[in-house]
Amino acid sequence: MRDESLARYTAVELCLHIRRKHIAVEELVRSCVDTALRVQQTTNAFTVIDAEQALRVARLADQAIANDVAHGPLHGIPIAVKDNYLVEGLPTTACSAVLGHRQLSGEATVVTRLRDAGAIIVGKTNMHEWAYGATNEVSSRGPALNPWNPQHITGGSSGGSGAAVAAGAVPVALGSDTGGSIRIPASACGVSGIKPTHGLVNRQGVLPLAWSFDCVGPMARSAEDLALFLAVLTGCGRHDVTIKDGSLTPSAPRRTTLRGSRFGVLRGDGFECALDVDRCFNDALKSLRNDGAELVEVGIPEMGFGFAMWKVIMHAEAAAYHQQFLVDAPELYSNTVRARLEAGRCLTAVEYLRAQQYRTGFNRYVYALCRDVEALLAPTLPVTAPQLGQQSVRYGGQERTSQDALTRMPWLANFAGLPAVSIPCGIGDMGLPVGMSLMGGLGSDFKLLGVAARFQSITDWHAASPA
Amino acid sequence: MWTLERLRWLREQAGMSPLSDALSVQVIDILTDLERESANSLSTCQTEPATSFRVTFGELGERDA
Repeated sequence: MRDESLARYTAVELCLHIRRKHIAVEELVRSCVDTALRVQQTTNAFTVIDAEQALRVARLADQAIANDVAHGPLHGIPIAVKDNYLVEGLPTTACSAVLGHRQLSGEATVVTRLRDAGAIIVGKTNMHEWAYGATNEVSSRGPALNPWNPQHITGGSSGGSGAAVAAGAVPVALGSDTGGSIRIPASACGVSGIKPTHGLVNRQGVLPLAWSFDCVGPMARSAEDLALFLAVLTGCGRHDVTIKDGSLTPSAPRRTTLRGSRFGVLRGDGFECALDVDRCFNDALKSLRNDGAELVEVGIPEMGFGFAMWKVIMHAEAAAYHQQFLVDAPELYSNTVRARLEAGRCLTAVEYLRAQQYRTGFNRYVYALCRDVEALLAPTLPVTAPQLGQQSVRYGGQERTSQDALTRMPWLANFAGLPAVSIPCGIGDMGLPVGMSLMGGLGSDFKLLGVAARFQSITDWHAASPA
Repeated sequence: MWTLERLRWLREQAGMSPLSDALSVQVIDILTDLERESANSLSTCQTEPATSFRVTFGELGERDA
């Protein structure tokens, strides 16, 4: 099997090939490390590539397979981890100079879970400084660049993870999501990603941005891979995920048709998008309808006001977390991140609490919508990835900052605590990927992934890769 | 309305160190945008779903209403 072909397998496929001894783990990890080193030149996706340790663990994994032992459902699967997760033996900086000289010890609970399940950490990935931005242009390691076109951003804040998966360096990478930070780079880089239900996945050992919204989750080449990893991340899949003749059975229901399924298509204020994104999204809706899905148009009032309340809460909570760092070493922040934090310090307790109170009522409406459909659908982003340095974008007759444009739809799932998946659904006019978002009711994570996997069985956008 | 003077006064009252003018302008831009987006009503925002939540939107909204 040629090395370059390994980079395009999904994690589910790799699991099977490893267990059937068609692929040696060392060969796979070496291929990933080589690819990571190569694409690092053009994408700057990684903050560290830990070839030595990854290959050592890979050899142990091969020895186990030789004895017909698999350590868990992810035995031998190479992964990358965003630089805000604590990983034993590797530095954690959140791509900020503030943590550049501090030694953080310990390991995130979910990283330990993945290791216990057999995953092998190849490296850590670039991110927007402190996860406090949607472009991944601001990072102590320099911007992450989009593998589809390095003149364009990856989106963020988990931009390195999106780029690493899209470029074929790893099949799966971990991200974190406070207002779209998994789904934005997933959409911009043409990969799949899930922000789980708030509280479903343990966040211990992951540096926070805003605790009311923060979620951790995987980014991968397919929805099926997301389900496999989510099962392990939640702690329910360490020992009970089974593999039978090509079909993994975590908790994602395998769908053979979408007949009888009802979806809400989000339209109106807050869901405007560029023409090429609209075209791709409408084509995706056509595919769903052809598969038997019933689609109904819905809207959510006060999207603009809700968006502002999301920002109030995020800025206030981020400022609270960073309070001491801002006193000790304010000069080590970038200007844009520090400005957001200093703005958060100006918000009053009354404003924060009012925003949280408003959120309760707003979410009641969104939950009611979710009860009547399997998922709410929208483009993940209103535009494809902006160019590096592009401060604003124009769509729907309005000009917005790139930061606002990229978060303008994804924030909703964080505000409501709902699970949301982004999957590729087309290629825009600039030759860059377009993503579709599926948002479901609280706890419907695996059900959403079942729908996403069905979409990926009737379309092949998820298999498209950068030249 | 956010101004350099208001920001300086607020930081002084809170015992925070002064910001450079350039950084202050960025902070003011963020706070001004927030005020605009929330229709200048950060301190009086709705505590219950606004009446517009009762507006119907397509099939689902009608049923909800």
